[in-house]
Formats: sequence, C-alpha cells, structure tokens
Amino acid sequence: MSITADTLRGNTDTIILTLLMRKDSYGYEINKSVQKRTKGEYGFKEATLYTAFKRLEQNGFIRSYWGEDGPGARRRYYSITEAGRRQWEESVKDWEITRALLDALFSVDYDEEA
Amino acid sequence: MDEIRARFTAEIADRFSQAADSAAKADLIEELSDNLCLRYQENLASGMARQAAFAAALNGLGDVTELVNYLNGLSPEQSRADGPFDQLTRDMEEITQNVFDRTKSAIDEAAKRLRAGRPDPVFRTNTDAPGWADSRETFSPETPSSAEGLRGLDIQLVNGDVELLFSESAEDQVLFSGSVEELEVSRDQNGALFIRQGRTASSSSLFRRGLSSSDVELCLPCRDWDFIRVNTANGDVELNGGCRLGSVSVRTATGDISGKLASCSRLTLTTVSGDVQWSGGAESASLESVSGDLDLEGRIGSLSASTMSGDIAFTGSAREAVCSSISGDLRLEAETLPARLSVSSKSGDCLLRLPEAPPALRLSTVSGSVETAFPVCPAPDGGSCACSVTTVSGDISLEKR
Repeated sequence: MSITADTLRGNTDTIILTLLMRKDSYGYEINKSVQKRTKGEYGFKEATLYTAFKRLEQNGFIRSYWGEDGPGARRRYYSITEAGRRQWEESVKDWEITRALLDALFSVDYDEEA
Repeated sequence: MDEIRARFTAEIADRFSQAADSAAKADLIEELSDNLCLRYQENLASGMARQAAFAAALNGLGDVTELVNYLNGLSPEQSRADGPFDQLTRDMEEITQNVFDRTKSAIDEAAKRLRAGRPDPVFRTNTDAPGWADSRETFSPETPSSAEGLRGLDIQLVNGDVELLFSESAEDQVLFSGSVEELEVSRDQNGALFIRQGRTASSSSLFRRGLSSSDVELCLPCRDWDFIRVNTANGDVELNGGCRLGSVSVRTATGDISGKLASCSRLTLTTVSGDVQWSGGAESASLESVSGDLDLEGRIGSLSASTMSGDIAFTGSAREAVCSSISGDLRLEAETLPARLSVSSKSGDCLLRLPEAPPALRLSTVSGSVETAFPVCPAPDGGSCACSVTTVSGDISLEKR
C-alpha cells in the first residue's frame, strides 16, 4: 500500500486537475470525490491538498475565488485555467506512456530472445 | 458547532505559528477549519464519539510544513487578501491573454495558408504545395467567369472585407467587384473556386505584412452550393442570399461576421474578437468567439455557442442547444422547448425565455441570484436534466415567453 500511496501522492496535481476539468470545486468536495472514486481507499490529507492547490495556483494552472455558502458564510472555490487544461492533457499523455513502459517492464511473459 | 470550529481554528493556528501573520494565512486557516469541521460532522454521522471524531478530523490535517514554507515565501503583495476587484482583474488578464494568443494564431494561420497556397518566388519551396496544383485553371477576376460546374468556394484573405451575395437574378456566372486587381482566382477539376490575395510576389508580401488591403465582393447564382469557406485575418465577412447551402464555414481573427441565408446543412462561425450576427436555418450550428458577441436567429437543429467575454444571444428554435461563456451574458429566446438545453457561465448573467416549463430543470449558482417562472425539478430517472443552467456569480433568470 505504501507504493500505491506514493504513486497516488506523486500524481496529486493531475488528480486535482482532473476533478476540476468537470466543474469548479472546493477542497472538501474534491477530497470527497477522491474518496468516492477510490471507494474510500484513498483520500488526501488537508495539507497535501492545499500544498498542491498553492503549487497549481502559482503555476497558473488553477485559480481560486470566494463564493457564498449560505447566508453570511463563504467558501473558496478552485477552477482550472486554459493553461491547466493543457497541463492536464500533457500529464495524461505522460501517464499513458509511463503505464505502457511499466506494463512492459512488469510482464514476466516477455520474450527476451525476440 | 461554533465551539468546535474555534477549537479547530486554535489547533490549526498553533501549527501555523511559524508562519508570518498575513491575510493569506488567515484565509488558509479559515478554509482548513471549515474542512475539518465537515470531517468532524462526517465522523459523528458515522457513529464516532465526539472526542474521537475531533481527533480523527484533526489527524486529517497532516503535516503543514510545506504550507508554512509557502506562506513565509509570499511577497507582501501576495500575502494580502483578495480585494473586490482582484478576481475580475484575474479574469480580464486571462481573457486578454487568450485574445492575444488566438489573434496571433489566426493571423499566423491565415498568412501560412496564403503562403502555402500559391507558387511564390519568395517562398520557392511552396510552389509544389498541395492545394495549388498545376491542374488548376486560373483566370482573371476582372471579367465575369462562368459558374457552370462550380460546387464550392474557398476564399482566404489576410486584409480586406468579403461580401458574398447569392442572387436569384444572377446568371450562371461569378461576378467580382471591389479591389479585384490583386486577387488570384483559380478553379480545380472538382468544381472548387479558390480566391487568394496578392497576385504577385511583392503584393502578396505587402498583404502578409498588413501593408496592403483589398475588399472583395462576389455575386453568385442562387443555387445549391456544396461548401462555402471564408478565412480572413482582419476583414469583415458578410453573406446574403435566399438559397440553401451545404457546409458554410467562416473564420476571422478581428473581423465581424454577418449573414442572412435561407439555410445550410452545417454552419461554423469562428472569430477571436469580431462580432457575429447571423440569421438563417441550419441543421447544426457551431459558433465560437473569444471577446466577440454572438447573435444568432433562426431554426437550428443542434446549436453550440461559446465565448470567453462576448455575449451570446439566440432567438428561434433549436432541437438542442449548448451555450457557455466565462464573463459574457447569455440570452436565449426559444420559440419551442429544446429537447436538451445546457447553459453555463462563470460571471455572465443567463436569461432564458421558454415557451413552457421543461420536464426536468436544474439551476445552480454559487453567488448569483435565481429567478424562475418554472419549477425546479430533478430528472425523473435521476440522470442529467434536459434543461440545466449553471453559473458561479452570474444571475439566472427564467421567464415564460
């Protein structure tokens, strides 16, 4: 599980961008989506999530704004930018390549003589 | 709950004690406190005792060292809280950057196509370029040309307006007027008429550099045309006529697009900063701009319209419509209720006037106001609603026609 967690943590930015591709969202909701998609197997620590938010914001991939959340309450929403969409596409392509390489490297049926 | 929130805030503030005090730090603590409160409530709902629920929620905070470093690395300007115009400023910066990028890209593309489309002594390697084959027959635009056998029109200009008139009274000829002396005209064996700007190497160079401009007017017979394609960088484009066309595609960078046609099978209008005003039917219509306004009227099968800061207005009937903007306002006046209607914006207001209540209606906004003459009701099967309007800060208004 530690390897899986490391792999997931290494892709925190892409996971967040993926969820923001669908709609603007806020920290708690993003974490709930992650837990729902992984059937409760994985969720971010708040610090991990917000460190990623700040990194993505500094790189221009997301931006944030305060929205209202009921009378007198407010909530910070995050939305993906055009640069973020391009970054997400790049990251997904990179992941496809990585996955193909690992599939090849992990395959015990590979014919070394071929 | 206020007491729990205060406890979380105190715990988080303690962990951020090494970070310099700033509005950004206060905002972050507020966000994290909210999230931990929600985690706490969730833990209680799952049956945990209060103390255990609090401890589990606090454990979800994790190691804040990187966040402390981040806060300490902020400049004084970055550390301050968002003012009322900061979000608007960021929106405008993004829109401006997009307009710049797309204008540059459209002008580059137009110039590239112009270069590639003609044997050019300056760009000799392009003389074999596809799209300007030797088999094309070239002729002078200064005299009428026969339209017999012509099926389509492909116009690519850099500078200058284009006006196409499909006339009932025209003979089967193509009549050119305007600044035709610098046009290069040819037709291929498949019945496509090609019009390019810059007859000579020196004049094409002037066009590409924006130092020369020519307006072009064409009068064409009103009959079936398979396709009409017009690409310009800086000119306005206007199409008029009562005939039925196949595919109509118009792209400009800064020029306006206007037209009134009986109908076409597929309509594609794309501009960066030009306005679009179009009237006529289409089986499918796709309109896109960055800062230009889109105004469409007619009977449309499938409508897709999107802008960044431009407004969108549609009047007529559409079987389905998907309209979106960032900051532009959207106004839809539907004569018949679309089978599927999706309208979304960030800060733009959305006004929909519908003839009757949609069977399923979803309205969603973060901080905009909502006024509706129709009941909001979920889709009966729990799936997506036939009518959906979503904004972040834009107001939503649904009225009955």
